Amino acid sequence: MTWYLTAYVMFWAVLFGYLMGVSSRQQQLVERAEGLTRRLSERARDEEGGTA
Amino acid sequence: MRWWPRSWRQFWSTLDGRTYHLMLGARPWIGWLAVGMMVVVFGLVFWWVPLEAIQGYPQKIFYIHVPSAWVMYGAFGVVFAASIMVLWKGTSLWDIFARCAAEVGFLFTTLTLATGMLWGKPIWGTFWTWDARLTTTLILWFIYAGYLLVRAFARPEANVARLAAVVGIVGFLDVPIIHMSVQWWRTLHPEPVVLILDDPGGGLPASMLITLLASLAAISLVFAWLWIQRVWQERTAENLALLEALLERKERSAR
Repeated sequence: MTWYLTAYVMFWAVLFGYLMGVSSRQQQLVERAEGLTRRLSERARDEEGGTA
Repeated sequence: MRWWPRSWRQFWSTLDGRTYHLMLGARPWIGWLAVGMMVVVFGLVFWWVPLEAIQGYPQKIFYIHVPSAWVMYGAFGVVFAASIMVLWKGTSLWDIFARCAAEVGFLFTTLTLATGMLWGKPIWGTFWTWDARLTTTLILWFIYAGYLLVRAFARPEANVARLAAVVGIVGFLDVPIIHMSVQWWRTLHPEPVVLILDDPGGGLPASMLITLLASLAAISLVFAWLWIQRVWQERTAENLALLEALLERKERSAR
């Protein structure tokens, strides 16, 4: 019984751990996209200021 | 608006894009189906399927060990097919398909080995033995560990996609060897028990077969969802890198 429960707990723990890794990569991508959006909007503002 | 290609040339040139959009459309369905199937499998394994008469509880490891191994075969099949397309077409999306399938396939190879070891201890009396099936699976684990390490540590300017594709194709040759190893060599690992073609009455009892197939469906769906999610992340990261480079160039020229 111990080995079978250990195998199932390990299986779920590994899958859950990988899922956490995927989720943290997702968060990094969101932060990167936000940074890029900020830079683009700053640039657009500068250009507008330059042409005014 | 016509959605079918005008020619084979057009079909092949747009196949990666079409596949990608189909995958993205199916992603939420696959995710929810995977969750539902996992709940069903949980009920089947812990409450419904009877205990096997000889092995008792450790035999229940079968319902995660065997589907993990089959999903591992499928994952490296995806790496194999996508690697051929990388060499043929050279598009980055096929490369992303291959490396994400290798990553998730590596996860399932690890799970196959680990669940096998935890099954081996109570039944064989040891976690590990240099049996043909175990050894060839460990070789596959090392092949794809190397594949992923090279990809992770290669310099961005180095074009590793083609080299990795060759490794992905050659590495897949180990999959049929793993599958046939129990018939080619005398091994401790049992021969196939799911379908015994030369004995119509043989094979698994219906309750065990149903549980195994449900688990195979659930684990395949988990694989598919993880793979699509990783493909989407890699594609998005690639697009973001392109936009960042363009913006940087524009900012430099403005200074």
